[in-house]
Amino acid sequence: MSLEALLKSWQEEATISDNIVHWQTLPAHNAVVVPFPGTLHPLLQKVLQGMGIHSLFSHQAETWDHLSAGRHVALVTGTASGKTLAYNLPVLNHLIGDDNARALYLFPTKALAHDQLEKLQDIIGRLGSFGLTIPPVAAYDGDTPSSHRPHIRRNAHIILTNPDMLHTGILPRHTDWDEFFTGLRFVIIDEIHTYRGVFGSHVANVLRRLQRITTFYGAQPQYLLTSATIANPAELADRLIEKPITLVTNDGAPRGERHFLFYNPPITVPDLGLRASSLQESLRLADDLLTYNLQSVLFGRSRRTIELLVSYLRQRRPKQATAIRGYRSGYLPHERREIERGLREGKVRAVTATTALELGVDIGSLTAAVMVGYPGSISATWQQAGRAGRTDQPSLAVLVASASPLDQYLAHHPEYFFGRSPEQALINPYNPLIVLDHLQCAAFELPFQKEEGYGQMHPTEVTDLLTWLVEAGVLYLSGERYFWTSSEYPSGNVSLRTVSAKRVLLQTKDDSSKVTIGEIDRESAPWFVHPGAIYLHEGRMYLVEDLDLEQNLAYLQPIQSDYYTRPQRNTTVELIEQLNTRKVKGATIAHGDLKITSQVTGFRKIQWFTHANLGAEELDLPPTTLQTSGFWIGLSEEVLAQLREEGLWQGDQISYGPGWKHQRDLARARDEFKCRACGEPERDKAHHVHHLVPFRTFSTPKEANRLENLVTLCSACHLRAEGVVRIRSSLVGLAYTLEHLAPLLLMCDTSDLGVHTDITSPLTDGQPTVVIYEHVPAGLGFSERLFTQHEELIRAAHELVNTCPCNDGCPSCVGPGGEQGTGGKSETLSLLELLR
Amino acid sequence: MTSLSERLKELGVQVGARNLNSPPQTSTGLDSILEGREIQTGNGKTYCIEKRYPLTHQHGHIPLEPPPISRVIAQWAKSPELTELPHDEIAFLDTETSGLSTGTGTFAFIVGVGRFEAQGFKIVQLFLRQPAEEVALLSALESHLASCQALVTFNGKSFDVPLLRNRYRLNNWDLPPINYLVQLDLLHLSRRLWRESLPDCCLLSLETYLLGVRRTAEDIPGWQIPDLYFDYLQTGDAHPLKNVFYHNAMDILSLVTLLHQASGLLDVHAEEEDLLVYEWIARGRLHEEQGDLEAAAQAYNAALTNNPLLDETHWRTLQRLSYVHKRRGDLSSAMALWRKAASQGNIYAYEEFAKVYEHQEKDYVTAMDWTQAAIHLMQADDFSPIQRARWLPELEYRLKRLERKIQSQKGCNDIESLQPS
Repeated sequence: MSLEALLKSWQEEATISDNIVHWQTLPAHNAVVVPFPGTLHPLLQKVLQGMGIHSLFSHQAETWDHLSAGRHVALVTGTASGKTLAYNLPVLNHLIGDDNARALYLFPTKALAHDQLEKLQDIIGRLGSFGLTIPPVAAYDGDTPSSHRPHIRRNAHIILTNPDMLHTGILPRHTDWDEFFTGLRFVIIDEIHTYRGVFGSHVANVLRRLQRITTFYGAQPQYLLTSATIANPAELADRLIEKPITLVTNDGAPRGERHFLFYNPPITVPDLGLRASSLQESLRLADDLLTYNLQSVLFGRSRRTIELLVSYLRQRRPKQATAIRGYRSGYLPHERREIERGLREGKVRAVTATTALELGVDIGSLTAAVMVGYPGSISATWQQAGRAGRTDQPSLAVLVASASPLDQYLAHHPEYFFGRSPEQALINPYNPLIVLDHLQCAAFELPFQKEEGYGQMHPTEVTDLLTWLVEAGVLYLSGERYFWTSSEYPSGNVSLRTVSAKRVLLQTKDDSSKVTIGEIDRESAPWFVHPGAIYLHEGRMYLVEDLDLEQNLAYLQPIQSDYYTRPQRNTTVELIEQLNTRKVKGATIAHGDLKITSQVTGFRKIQWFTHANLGAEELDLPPTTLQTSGFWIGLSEEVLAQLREEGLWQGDQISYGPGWKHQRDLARARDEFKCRACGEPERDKAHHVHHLVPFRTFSTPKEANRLENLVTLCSACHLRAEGVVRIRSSLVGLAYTLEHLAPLLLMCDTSDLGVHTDITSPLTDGQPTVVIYEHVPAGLGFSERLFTQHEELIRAAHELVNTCPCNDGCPSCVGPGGEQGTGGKSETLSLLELLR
Repeated sequence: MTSLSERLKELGVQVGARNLNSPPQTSTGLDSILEGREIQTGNGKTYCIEKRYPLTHQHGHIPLEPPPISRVIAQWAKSPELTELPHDEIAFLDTETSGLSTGTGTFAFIVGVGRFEAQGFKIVQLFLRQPAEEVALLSALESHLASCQALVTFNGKSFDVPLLRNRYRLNNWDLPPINYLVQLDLLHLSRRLWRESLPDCCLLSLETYLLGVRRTAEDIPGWQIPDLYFDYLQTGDAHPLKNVFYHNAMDILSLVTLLHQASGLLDVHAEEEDLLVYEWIARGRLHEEQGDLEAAAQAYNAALTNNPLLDETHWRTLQRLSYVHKRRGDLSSAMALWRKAASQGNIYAYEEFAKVYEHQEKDYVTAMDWTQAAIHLMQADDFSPIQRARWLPELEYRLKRLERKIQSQKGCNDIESLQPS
């Protein structure tokens, strides 16, 4: 059955077609081809012809020309445009003629390196069948057995590895690679768009170290970088390798017709603005895809989502259970290989995946890609959509909007998505913490000379840091050189992906032996695998029995559970240094360095399907701290006064239910007819009785009006108390909105930021405050941008909340009601009016 | 504008785990503490300490005489010329380093080399007074080793030698001079000889159990050594380093007597009745590794006859001997041993029988009997799950293959029987 048939059926089915808010058809385009360059070795030409390739795409030829002219190149073309061949050809062509030449390939993941190794070996095997032997190529990474390593180091002419291995395994032992570095002719860095944020900032520093080492061995390699479409490939490439670079962007590869659908789940509860779940709607679409036998991938944003997708989809189609697989980081390599093979061979019909599958892992050509929720950036959306339609057949991409503000914004403004260039990938190779880490690694590798620079960092700055390291005893200055004088192996302590190098292993105990089913980074461990958590892996449920943060082990037990768990976190924010501040309408804003301490304090058990709360448990886990930069908004006194006033005006319109009068009198009597806040006794008029936890939080008046929840207050004190509730509610609403909108302005992932609200914040002398902080230690510069773009952010937030069709707050504007004690839409809107 | 380091300090960043001692004092004369002298090389100055020991010096219960290198050891080291080398061309080398990793940030700050000369044994310890003097130290080492042919170390193959090679490479030697030396790593040799009889093969255990060496309080544990050197760099006070020099010298002396001990054990002329069971086994293993199967079989046989017990050692030795027989092509001797082993429930023996009947005799039915018996045994007796996982899949695979072979043989026979005779 064909894709056309499915699309027709969707058009005819109102419960689907009504939800398709946008249907973009991207026309097919033909290949732009160029004959093989004359300098391409005749045998390579024969090999290509044997593979059915008789010419190059224009971008491959362009890359060839620039490399031949000695330039560094960044190749930026779409998914499946033949980027691999664009670098393999010039490298092999050169290696055939030069026995001393070596090439280093860097891939963001091991999986990708192994995939590309197979492709390279295929070409080399074909060359071999024509009698041309090329010295071996090899992957060199954490999976390479140590017994093979010396042989690979001595013999391989092309090494495929990842930045982590370069960082911990190769550079610190560069003398073992003497010949390799001396002959290093090419450095290929694939998928550089993945090197953004903290990872990219680390990788830029690893590349600075690589530069020092190649200089030591007298090599001057040419760099060839590839990237998916991003807004600033040249800038990113420049920041990564700090060399002038030529950009190749004209994509000459052919492409079939593509249908890009925006699907917004229907509104189910108009009052609350609640929509049907994007997950359930996606399942329905995936089910149809399976019915029409169209091979597809479902992208989810979190591990949890994709595990849910697998288990739900299998429940719907028990007969096809083995043809439905999950794919994400944390799966073991052989599991992944097996799934990839299943996809290529067509045995796997549907795969649910996180971004782990977004990269160029070869899974053959799929027909459809369904994105459950906006992937977070325009660039990532195109990447994921590109997973379908690698051939000249028509293909389908569906973006199923979730309730998040960003998704809803795009569902209502699809033109924004199709009209806008993808985001910039931001990195900060100068993040002081990251620089400090790598400066130590670099000093271990080769002593710094006095006055030596580091990348494009000025020697004065480098000397400042080196001097500090000398004072700390880590380095020792002797004869104009800085020697490493510590018995530590510094790169072992520096992880490129997270703040800490530690990973927690997830183990299950079989009858007698322990099985490691996956791993998770140390920082996330209390969040995902706290004791009592239900952890999902490959569609199976596990109960976490224990989390041992000293051994970095979590013990899991397979379980059939009718609930899942949601952890609760407690966060405090302390000021380290304020770097800049200014007065804006209704507030004072600032940015600077902060210390964030967070602790997982407990979790709730939530029933599958009904999402009913089955109870909560407390946890005693150690807190984790983060030093980073943040941006904060402290509300002015005038704004607070106005908010309080509006609160009074709006108050007293709620009916507190039957028996309220009786309960109120009981509370007054208990409090001896005195205000519990100021002690003022009642005179001619009865005092007010206030709900400690707001009335509308409760499902029944009886519960809300329990005596323990009531307190007697004089009217002045009551006004203040209500004001606090109201202000807190507006703060929470504001924080929610800003957190979800900031990525649109900032071009970062939502997960790069955290928010915090405090009714009396130490950052602003006790004023109510919203803090947005970066998850990257010391920050990547996002906070400073928010500081300068504050007005634009507030304007966008006001627009979003003001035009949201819900009545009193929904997940798409100020957040769901109830959580913090109020549906804060009106309060948030009032606040935004005052800040605008 | 605050400097980067100030900003980092404000962020609460700390570097360095050690508490630094007081800042450098005017350095007390090294000569009076270490009793060495400065030497001039083609690449600047470095520092050198010499210690001499008469040939009558007892290190533990072994005198410090030039150790003979037995033929077996020379063969094992793949350098037969070792037996013929003049004693003064063998260097006993040990380094003290700034760390334990072999990355390029680890360097040697003491390189001790012991050599025999006419009057006795002399240890030269080259000392890195300042990291910047490394090139001079390496030059001095190069000329000191220039007349040597062989290098005796303890774990030098994986540590000292690659480390020195790194240092030469980092200081722009194209070809590190130590590349030319024949290497004899006594850690590897000791493991082969004494693994079964000692709790471990670290130098300290070997000294305690074999050499009778007791170090004085002057010695310090190895893990403290890098920090002592770093402290010296900070304070300029070399006093605490005296312990490190002592440690280094003791290591080198032990290399000499350890080689004595090993050679004595492996000398063909050794008083054979003095050898213990494990020494016979060790000897057998070395012979086996070198492919001298006759000698290996003899040694293992001696180990079996000298062992009054039917213990684990007995059965393990028997297994090794059976494989040696098999490799020699003496299947009947091997089978005799396997019969004994099978009677004791050793699965490997069952498998060997199955192999013989399947591949040599083409007697698939008997081969299947042995295989089934082994499977039966594994299921009945209380073998550990690990053992089962190790053996059962293999056995079951063999069983299936044998069934197939029997079937096809039968098929052939049936066809043959159909032919008119």
